[in-house]
Parts: sequence; C-alpha cells; structure tokens
Amino acid sequence: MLIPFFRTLILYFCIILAVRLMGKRQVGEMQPGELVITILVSAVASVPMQDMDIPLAHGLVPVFTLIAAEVLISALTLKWVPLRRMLSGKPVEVIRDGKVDRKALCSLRMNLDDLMEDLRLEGVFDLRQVAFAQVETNGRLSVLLRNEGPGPFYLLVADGSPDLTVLARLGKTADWLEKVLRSYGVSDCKEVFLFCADQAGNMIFLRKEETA
Amino acid sequence: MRWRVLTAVLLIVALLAGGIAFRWVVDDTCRRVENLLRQSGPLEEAQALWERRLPLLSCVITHDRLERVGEGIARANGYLQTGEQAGFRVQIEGLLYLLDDIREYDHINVQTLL
Repeated sequence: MLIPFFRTLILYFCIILAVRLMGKRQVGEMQPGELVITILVSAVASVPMQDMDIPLAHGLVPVFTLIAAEVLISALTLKWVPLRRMLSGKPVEVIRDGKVDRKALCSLRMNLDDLMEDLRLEGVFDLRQVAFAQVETNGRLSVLLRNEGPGPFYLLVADGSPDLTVLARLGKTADWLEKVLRSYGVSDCKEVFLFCADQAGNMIFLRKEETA
Repeated sequence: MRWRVLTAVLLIVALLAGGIAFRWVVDDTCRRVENLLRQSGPLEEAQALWERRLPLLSCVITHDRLERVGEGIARANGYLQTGEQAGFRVQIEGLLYLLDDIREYDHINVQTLL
C-alpha cells in the first residue's frame, strides 16, 4: 500500500518537473508535437505507477527522454524554419472576403459543419461578415471581420527565412521583396527578424539587431 | 530558453551515462554469479553477491526476474546440501539461462530494438 503511494508521488513530482522544463506553451494551446508528448508521457508514466514489478526507471527514462527530445527539437525549430514547417505545419487560409476555400478545407480534412461550428464559437454567425479566416497550426480558427479594420498582415520573412508561398499569395515576387528590403537598408534577408505586409501595402519591419 | 536546452542536453547525457553504467552493473553481476554457479561449490558467495547488487539491479530489471534468480540460488543451495545432484544440475542450468536472459535484456541490437 505504501509502495504505490510513494512511487506515485515520485512519478508525480518528476512529471511536474518535466512539464516545467517543457515550458508554458504546454499548458496553453498545443502544437501537434506537444500533444503527442503529453499523450505519451501520461501513458508511459502510468505503467510503473500500477505495476510494482516494473522499475520506476522504466517510466522515468522514457518521460525524461521525451521531454528532453521535445525541448531540443523546439530549440531547433526556433532556428530552422523548414523543420518548424515540417513538424508544426502552416496556417491555412479557409475564408477570404466571405468566400470559403473548398480546396483548403479538403486539405485540412475539415467539413463545412466543422467550419461553421468554429465560426459560431468565435461569435460569427454570418459568413459574409468574415474578411479573413485561417486555421492555425494548433487547429484553432482565427477570424478577422470586415468591420475590424485593415486586412491581415502576412508574414513574409520570419527569422531570416522568406516565405515564398505567402509572397506568391500576395501576388508579389522575390525581386519585389529584395527591393523592399533594400529600401529598409537591408542587403541580406538573414538580417531581418520579421517582415509583414498586407494587401493594401502596409508593412511591418523589424531587424534582428533591433530585437532584444 | 538557454537553460532549458542545457538541461535537456544534460538530461540526455545523464540518461545515456546512467544506461551505460547500469548495463555494466547488470553485465558484471550476471557474469560473476554465473562463474560462481559453474564452480559447483557452496553457493553462499553467489547468493551474497546477488543480494548485495539487488537494489541496483532492481532499478533497471523487472522485479519478478530478479526474484526468480534469488529463489533459484536458494533452491540450488538446498539441493546441494541434501546431496540431490540431479536437482542441483537442473536448477543451475535454469539459473544460467535466466542470468543470460537478464544480461541480454539491455543489449542493443536489432532484435531488442524492434
């Protein structure tokens, strides 16, 4: 009776420590990788909690290995955008000017009922009100209404990496991007921390050295 | 972020080092107990060595396997004292198989990985 009690306590504190190591992101909305880690950690930790014949290490080693791998991978994705895209995916635009993008919905394996439900949860009951809506990488729907000011800003350069797909969606080319960046006094994209633009031509620019 | 990455790297190093250390302990204990069992002499030394290393082995090997070895040594010792050679030999063979199985348990190869 006492052994399961103490084993559970040890596992509990170790998992708290492990989740703390993973950071605050885990507590809020989860990325696909984080969801996998959470499911795996809870499954792995419960085995030595119930079976006294199994050494605690058989539960703790996988838990700490998973968490350490998750921290290292998230540090890598911070620096390497293609890996981030591969592991977390990209936000997908599903509504533009009140029109639903059927292909985008198919690619997300999302049906109209799901979309309307997500819109209602965001307080939108009339599709015509929507200026722009996209499904984020964590599965949540972001909605911009027509009367909420200018259109969305597109992230064209993130941490030194240009996104050519988004650039094409805006109807711009790599040459245009280069020219605009040069007007900000930047010769190499790698010097840029963030560059956003909307369809009206408004821009937000932030150099890497300007960030803390 | 930096302390998290550092902690994660240290964790992985510690887990690998711990894994190697425990593998050495398991390997060494099993090999020494096997040698003592093969000598066919009194088994007190083998039993003492096994009991001394038991807390360390319990950290990595499933407890029922360890209990089976401890019981096997005690049973073999009993056969030895009553002079039942056939029972003793069968018991020793079983123990050698069990120890070999424990030793192989944490060895990295295609079979164990898959």
